[in-house]
Amino acid sequence: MPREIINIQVGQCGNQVGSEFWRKLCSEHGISKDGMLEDFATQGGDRKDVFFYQADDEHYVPRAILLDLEPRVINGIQTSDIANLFNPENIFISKEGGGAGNNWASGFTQGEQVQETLLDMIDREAEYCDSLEGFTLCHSIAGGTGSGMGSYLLELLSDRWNKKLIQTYSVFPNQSESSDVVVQPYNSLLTLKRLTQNADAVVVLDNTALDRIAVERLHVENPTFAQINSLVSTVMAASTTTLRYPGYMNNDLVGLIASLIPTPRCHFLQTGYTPLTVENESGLVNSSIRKTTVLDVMRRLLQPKNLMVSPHARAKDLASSRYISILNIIQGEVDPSQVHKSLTRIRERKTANFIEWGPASIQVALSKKSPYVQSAHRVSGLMLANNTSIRHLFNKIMRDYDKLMGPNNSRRAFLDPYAQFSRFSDGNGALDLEEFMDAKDVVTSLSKEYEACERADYIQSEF
Amino acid sequence: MQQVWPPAAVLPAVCKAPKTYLQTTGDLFAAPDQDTEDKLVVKMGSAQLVSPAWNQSRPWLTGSWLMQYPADYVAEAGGSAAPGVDLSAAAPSEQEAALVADLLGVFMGQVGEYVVHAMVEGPKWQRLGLQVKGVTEPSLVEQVERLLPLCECVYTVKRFVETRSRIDHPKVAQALAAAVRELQREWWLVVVQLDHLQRLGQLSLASLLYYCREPAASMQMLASIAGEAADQDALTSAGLLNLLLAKQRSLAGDRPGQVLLGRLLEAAAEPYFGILEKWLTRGELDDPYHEFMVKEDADVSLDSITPDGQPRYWSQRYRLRGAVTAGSRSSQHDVPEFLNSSKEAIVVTGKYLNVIRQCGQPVPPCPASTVAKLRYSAAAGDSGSPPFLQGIQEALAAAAGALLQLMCGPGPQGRLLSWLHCLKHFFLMDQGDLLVHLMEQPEMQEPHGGLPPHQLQGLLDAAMRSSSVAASPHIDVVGEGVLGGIMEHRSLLQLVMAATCSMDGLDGGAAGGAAGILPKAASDSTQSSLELLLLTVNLSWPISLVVSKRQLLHYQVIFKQLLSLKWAERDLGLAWQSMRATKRLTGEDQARWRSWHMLCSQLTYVVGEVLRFSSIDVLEPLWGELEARLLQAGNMDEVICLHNAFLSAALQHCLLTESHMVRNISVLLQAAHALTKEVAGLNEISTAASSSSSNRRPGQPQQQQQQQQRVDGLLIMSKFCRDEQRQAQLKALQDRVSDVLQRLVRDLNMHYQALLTAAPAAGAAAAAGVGGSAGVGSLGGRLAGLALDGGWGSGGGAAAAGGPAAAAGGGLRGSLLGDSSRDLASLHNLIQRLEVGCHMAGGAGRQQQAWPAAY
Repeated sequence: MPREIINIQVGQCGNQVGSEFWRKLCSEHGISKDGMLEDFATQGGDRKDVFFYQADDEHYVPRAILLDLEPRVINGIQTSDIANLFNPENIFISKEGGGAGNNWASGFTQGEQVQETLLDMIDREAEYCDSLEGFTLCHSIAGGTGSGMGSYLLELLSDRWNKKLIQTYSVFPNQSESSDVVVQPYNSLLTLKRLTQNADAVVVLDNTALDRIAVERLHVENPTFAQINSLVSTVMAASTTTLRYPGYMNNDLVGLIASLIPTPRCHFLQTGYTPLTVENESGLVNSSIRKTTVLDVMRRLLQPKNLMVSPHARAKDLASSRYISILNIIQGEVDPSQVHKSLTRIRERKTANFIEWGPASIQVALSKKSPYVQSAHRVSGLMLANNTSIRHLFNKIMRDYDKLMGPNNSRRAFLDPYAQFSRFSDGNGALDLEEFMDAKDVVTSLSKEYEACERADYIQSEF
Repeated sequence: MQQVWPPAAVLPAVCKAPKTYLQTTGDLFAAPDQDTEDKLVVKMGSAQLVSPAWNQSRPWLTGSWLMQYPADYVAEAGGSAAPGVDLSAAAPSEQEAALVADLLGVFMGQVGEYVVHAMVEGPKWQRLGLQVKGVTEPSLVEQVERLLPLCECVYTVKRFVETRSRIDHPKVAQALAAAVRELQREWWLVVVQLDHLQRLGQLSLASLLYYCREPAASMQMLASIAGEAADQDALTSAGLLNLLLAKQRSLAGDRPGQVLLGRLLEAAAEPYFGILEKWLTRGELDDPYHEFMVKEDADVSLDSITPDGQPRYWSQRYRLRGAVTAGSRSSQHDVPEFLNSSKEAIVVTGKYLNVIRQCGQPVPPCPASTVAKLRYSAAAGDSGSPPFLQGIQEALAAAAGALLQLMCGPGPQGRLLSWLHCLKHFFLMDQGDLLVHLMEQPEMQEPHGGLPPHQLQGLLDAAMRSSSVAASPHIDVVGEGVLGGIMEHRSLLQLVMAATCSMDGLDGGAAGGAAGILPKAASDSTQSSLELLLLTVNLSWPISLVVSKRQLLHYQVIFKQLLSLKWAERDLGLAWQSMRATKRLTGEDQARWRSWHMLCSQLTYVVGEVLRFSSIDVLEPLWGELEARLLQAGNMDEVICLHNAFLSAALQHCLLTESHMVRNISVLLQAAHALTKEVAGLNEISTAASSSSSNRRPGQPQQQQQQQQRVDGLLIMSKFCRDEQRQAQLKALQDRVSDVLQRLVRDLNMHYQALLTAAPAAGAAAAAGVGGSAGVGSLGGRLAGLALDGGWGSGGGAAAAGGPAAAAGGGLRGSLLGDSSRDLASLHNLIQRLEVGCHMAGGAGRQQQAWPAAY
């Protein structure tokens, strides 16, 4: 029984990451760029119907919905080698084509305006499913479309399909360098509210950390978008392997995320992946890792430098951070006894600090590797972790937001474009900050919740 | 025929009493043949052999006259008590000539005039006594008396040949009789030559004595064999061959005697080897006289099983014929000694071939070189053993290979591995999505009364088709309707007992004890169909040899456990989904919910750990080992043995044989379902609220509508967690879970300690090559016992099937024991991880225990 998942990709970043993800899935399942099953892909054992369905002519069609408010990226996909993969009915480009201008309010409002179109697309996709388990959303939270329209979609999905799971792969902006999008703290904060309230699990992909990994770990001097996106798609593909290659356990999304998210509000997951590879003009650039064992992989996954979220805090603050849960998805031929040994070794070294009120242990899911993809490494691993240190990222976003907003909302920098939309105006054309205040409240309480998790009496304590 | 004739009183003084010389003549002279009008009929399967009545009713032909003679003679002689001519008046030379002539007649088996026989009393039967009569010359009498033993031998051999060559005697006896008849003819040649001499007048009694000396030794030998053979009650063919063999051995040093015996043995063994050859090369049991060492029980059909669910065909259809002799040696088999070392191999070879034949496949021809070796020969072959033993081993290897090829090969009847893969898919659920579809059907959740079998079958089929199992390359061996579902009212523990109790006697008591404390099978209709569901599969011949009812039961037990774990896991997922909306609550309400979340998280963790342990730590490595070894297996017995060991180990390592563990886990699972039920209401209420608000849709702007919906939901969730009754229920659940968890961990620890202490002992026992169970409750010990103790029906046969199977048993033992450290490690790991969950329970509930450091 497939428990299908529909992938919705929104905005420039979402579509770039998403199309990389689909490329990856196709190669892992032995599906050609135009959706036909390759001749060599007869071994079976995988479950293609989680992410694909078969059209009348045997083509495999991704359960994907591609949304953008400007045509550039999606046109790019439609002229690329995977142009024929997607169902053209599932591609939506705003008629105006003007994009959202990095304005959350614009993206959200434009989303609202095309609600019926979106619902039609999602409804149709949902009807193709026997037993739809949920949605994944790829987007970035800094720009206009991914954040604004993505936020709208989150609200829409959680209202209309309240029994389905919603997982997002959310790319957080690069905080370390000045961005060309000055309003990204606004957008981030507004999106974070929806991620908190409307998503069931958020995989946080921090561009700051992704850049750092590309530079430091993979020795790429100026990582391109494509290279960063391939990192993200690797994570996305790896986090769904247990769904796509059925084994004894972890065969549905809820099983995966329920064990990671004991209390529903703390559902922001950090990831780590090793060994990473990135493609450049000259072919594959591997990280310097030559030999992989289960212990190596699990140990490396716990190293902060492999984490795809940057700390954004001083070591002193980080010392109190705790893991709420860890799930390692290990791919490759692995003997379970090696896993036990590795866990014991890691426990002895006390590399991971766990919360004191929950099951403090690393969960390990073993998964097959795709037989169609050659890999230089015997074992690879993805870590999905719920760590309280994520609150520093939220705090950083709020600090940036406060800088723009000024003390007591006195500065209100760059807010004019928002005031043009009804959600941010009081009807007389003046700015209404209620949406911002509300979002800040939600994110503040989220950060506090994570902080509370660091205490042993979390369960008993009153908020 | 008790009277002795002629009565001693009427004999002349010089005539001594009739004497016997041979040790025994058995029943050869017990009674004259029945003078019957009936034909002699011997049934041979569907055909029958008929020997006409006149064949029996000719006393002069069969030697029966020897016993009838006195009466007939009396009648002929008109009542005169003095047969023959009295030589007392004749001159000594005349006496001698008459005696020589008379003796030559007797040597040909005729009735003598002066050398006469009489029936004397023997220990069991009457027998022939001989005496010289009517001769007065003492020196002559003495000389003739020296020939009397030979005369007795002649009569004995003649009688033996005549009776044993009748069709109602087994082939081996007939063959021996024929061989003896040949020798008898040679003796007659001697007599004819002596007769010639006598006619030339050159044969004196003294020279007769001289000429007869050497042949007499041979005749003596034949007669003693004949006598001893006839002396034994119900002498089987194997017994006859053994007798010959023993006789030959006793003749060490007597070269001519040994040659003679060798000739007899070869001749007598020929029909036996004929049967053997057919059996070994074609699997045919062509044994009309039931003299062969293997017997067939035609009542054992292909699908009949023993009371404990083993295939009877494999273990009971062909067996060694038991020795008939009662008493202390009754456990012995009726096997010729020279085949004794290979007797199990012989049974097994023919059994393999018969299985092939039962599959409708042609039996592969045996190489001619092998067939050529299947002849009796006393000489040792190249390897020190007689060539026929090598031939048997070759035939065994060929048959084992052929059967293995058939079962594991790509033919329609084989593909054993594919079948096992399917069983793994269905019963061990190695691709977890198998029954998701089934679990989602509302019908399955309802009390089972409402689900008719055909509907269940339909649901099952749909579940199979929609799961990834359907895409498995192995799946096409399972046709339509092979797989089915049944409603099983026995509890898991009862099933476990049914699967294990008859396996080894040692555990019988323990299982019986456990039965007492078990709750009776709750056959009430409150159980849902999902709770009662058990998969079943109709395995056809010859796969049913490997997976019979008993083995299937093992699979079913594991299936039931995995299904209940999966079901609980799924329910907990639903509970998690029902509660996830609480993330929108704020402040106090959210904190109130934390206890609910934690209980859910704790149960998810524990159920996940048990599931992971059972599947990934136990089943998968065991399976891998089984598969690797099956590929190396050399014969079917080894395959069956390996598979049985796998199942038994799986059951034990999954802790299913420990009733405390099973019960504790089932309490945990019940708690999981209870929690889900508790919070499922939440989901329904909020759904109802949202649907009621969406009913108001036309009037309201959408945004407000959604707003309203959210507020409704939040209110419900807030009320839910403030409800005191629910809080009390939560508390009760928490207490129950933490209690059971602690008990589970404690029991696991005890179990682990027991294994730890037992493991070295078992290891030592295995190292010393001691089979059997080294310590009850010891994982390794029981495994070791299992591999060899023959509890699995054919175990004895397998262990005795010569080198390969026994070696396999030994190898298996070693390997599974070798892995016991791994098993212990994973068990230890499980305990550690459950302890973490346990602390969590204590912490969430009471916060009184110390936290485990870091982990």
